[in-house]
Amino acid sequence: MAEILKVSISEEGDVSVISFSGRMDANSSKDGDKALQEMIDNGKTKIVVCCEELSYISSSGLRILLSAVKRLRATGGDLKLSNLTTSIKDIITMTGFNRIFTIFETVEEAIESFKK
Amino acid sequence: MSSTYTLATNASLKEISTIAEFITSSLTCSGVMEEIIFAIELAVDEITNNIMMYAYPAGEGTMKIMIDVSGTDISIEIRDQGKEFNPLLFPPPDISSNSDERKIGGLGIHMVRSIMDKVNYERRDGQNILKLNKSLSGTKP
Repeated sequence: MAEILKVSISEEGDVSVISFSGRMDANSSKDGDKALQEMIDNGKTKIVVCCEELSYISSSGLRILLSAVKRLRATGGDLKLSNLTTSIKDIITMTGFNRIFTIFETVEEAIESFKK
Repeated sequence: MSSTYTLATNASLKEISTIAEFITSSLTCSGVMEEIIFAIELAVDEITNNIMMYAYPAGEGTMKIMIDVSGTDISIEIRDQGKEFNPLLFPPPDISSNSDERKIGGLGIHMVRSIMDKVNYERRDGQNILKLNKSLSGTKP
């Protein structure tokens, strides 16, 4: 049985860290989208997406990240990515999403970048 | 030596896991490297999602995925009997644009073209037939 997407959220001061674990495909990305949009609805403006446990992302998953970052930047916020595996990094580069998102090696570096 | 694998399934989001497992198990059996399997799984996922959205916009239909691994060549044929739909007609996305300008459409087929060496579409006998080829001796990931 293929993995599903698990979502966990934590707060570090005014920065929210959302960690995706498993697969983000056309089916499971709906859960990721719901979680991200709810965070923005609740006034979160600084979001780090930790991809350490993310094993797969299709264009459906990339679309939800794009939709969230567009919404955040429109109000002065941002969404940053951290802990990309080699496979996910390859997809991000292939699609030019590395030009859209700021990418960090660790969650801590991504959180720190919001303080500058 | 040549190995052939076939999956006939519903074109439904519920079958995404089944399709992913079919690709992984078939290519693993043929000794294909893990990173190539990952890329091909992604390409087939994008194509089958397009079939669900555009060939069968009104609901579910069926599709067939055939994989042939022969020496260093992987050939994949995906057929459906839905509405005529050629994914290769999607305009390519501008992957150099920033988030404000970035359009959502065309990303999936761009990924397929990036991963595979050859992608061909034909409409025949009421079927959409998409053929994907990947040479394991090539340089793409």
